[in-house]
Amino acid sequence: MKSPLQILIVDDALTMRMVLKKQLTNLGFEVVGEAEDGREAIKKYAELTPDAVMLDLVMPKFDGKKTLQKLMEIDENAKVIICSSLGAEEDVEFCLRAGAHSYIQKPYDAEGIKIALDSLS
Amino acid sequence: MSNKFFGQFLLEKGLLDKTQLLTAIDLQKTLNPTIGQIAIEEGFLTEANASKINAEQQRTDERFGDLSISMGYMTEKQIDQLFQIQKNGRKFFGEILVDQGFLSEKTITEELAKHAKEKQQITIQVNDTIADHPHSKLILNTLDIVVKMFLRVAKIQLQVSDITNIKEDIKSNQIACSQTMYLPEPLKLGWIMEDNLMISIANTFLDMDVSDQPLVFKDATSEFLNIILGNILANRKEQQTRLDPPQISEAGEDFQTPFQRHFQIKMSTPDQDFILFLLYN
Repeated sequence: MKSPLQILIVDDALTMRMVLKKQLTNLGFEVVGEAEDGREAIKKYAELTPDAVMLDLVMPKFDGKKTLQKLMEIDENAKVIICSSLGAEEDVEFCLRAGAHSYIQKPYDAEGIKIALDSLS
Repeated sequence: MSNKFFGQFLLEKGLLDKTQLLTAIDLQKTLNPTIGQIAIEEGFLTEANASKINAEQQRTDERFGDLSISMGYMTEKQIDQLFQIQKNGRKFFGEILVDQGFLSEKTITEELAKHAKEKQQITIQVNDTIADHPHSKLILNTLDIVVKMFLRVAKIQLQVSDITNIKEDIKSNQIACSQTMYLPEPLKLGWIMEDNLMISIANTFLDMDVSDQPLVFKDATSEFLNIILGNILANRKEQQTRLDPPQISEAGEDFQTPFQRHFQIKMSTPDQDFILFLLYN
């Protein structure tokens, strides 16, 4: 049996990490780590080498856009899916051009997450 | 509900991939010049004056055409002419997707209908206090999204019950949750509500009972506000919008600095009231 995709969740809100973890687990994915901000995310990405990162944008200190750029610098093949409350066209465009694989706007449902993660394979 | 632009809506449904979406966005920009760009091409405006109008537009809610008239750069007749040129040459996003062979005309028609249904506005009864307010469009848009999100995420029906300029402090059984957004000038939006309402929002949002975990239900309420503000910004056309992370304040704490002006709306759920406020300068 194919092993499940390993995911790193990056969101400053405990609530969103709880919701996302529950949804990802129910969909059969494995959450290998959680990070509260960009710096922690970069550290955990190097340690855990996840298959994909679910990344929030609005975070204190090191925000999601900077984190995305840094992750792409470290690993140009990083698979990053943005999960943000922001959804203006320029935010979506910025992230996709910076290397994000896909973009989901909060509040999201399980189907949107599944579509984005399934499109990685 | 959704405030996604059509391209994002299709991306999330897996009907468009990232490369197709970026190609279509590029084409849309090339094929659909703005009123300002057409005005420069037609010789009605200099680039320097167009930049001045753009800068003014960042500060106000006014449209480019209205501003160029009020600032004395163009006449109403010229603006009408520009709109006609823009309209005649306009290429819709859906058309671009069909032209590029990304989606069929039938799919575009079906998805446009679904997208429009999700974007449908809720009719809110408001009084003249809002109509005269400098941020009236923002307030109406906020109310629309707040009402929809409470219904969708918190499964709570909301009504607007009163609109005033009274400044209220946080009482001992209440929490203020607020967040600053930049449009690009800063505005702080938030609510003051009691624990009971926060618990009810969090329990639905998380689909578990967190009534005895104040940290979790406060965090859930903040994130709920963050989602609402993100969706408000998604509806705006300004460049460089930005959100600070949400902030929780309790009785005795200051949540209004550094803003001078205040505006508040009393919202009613079937069980209790809470206050939605807007701070600005």
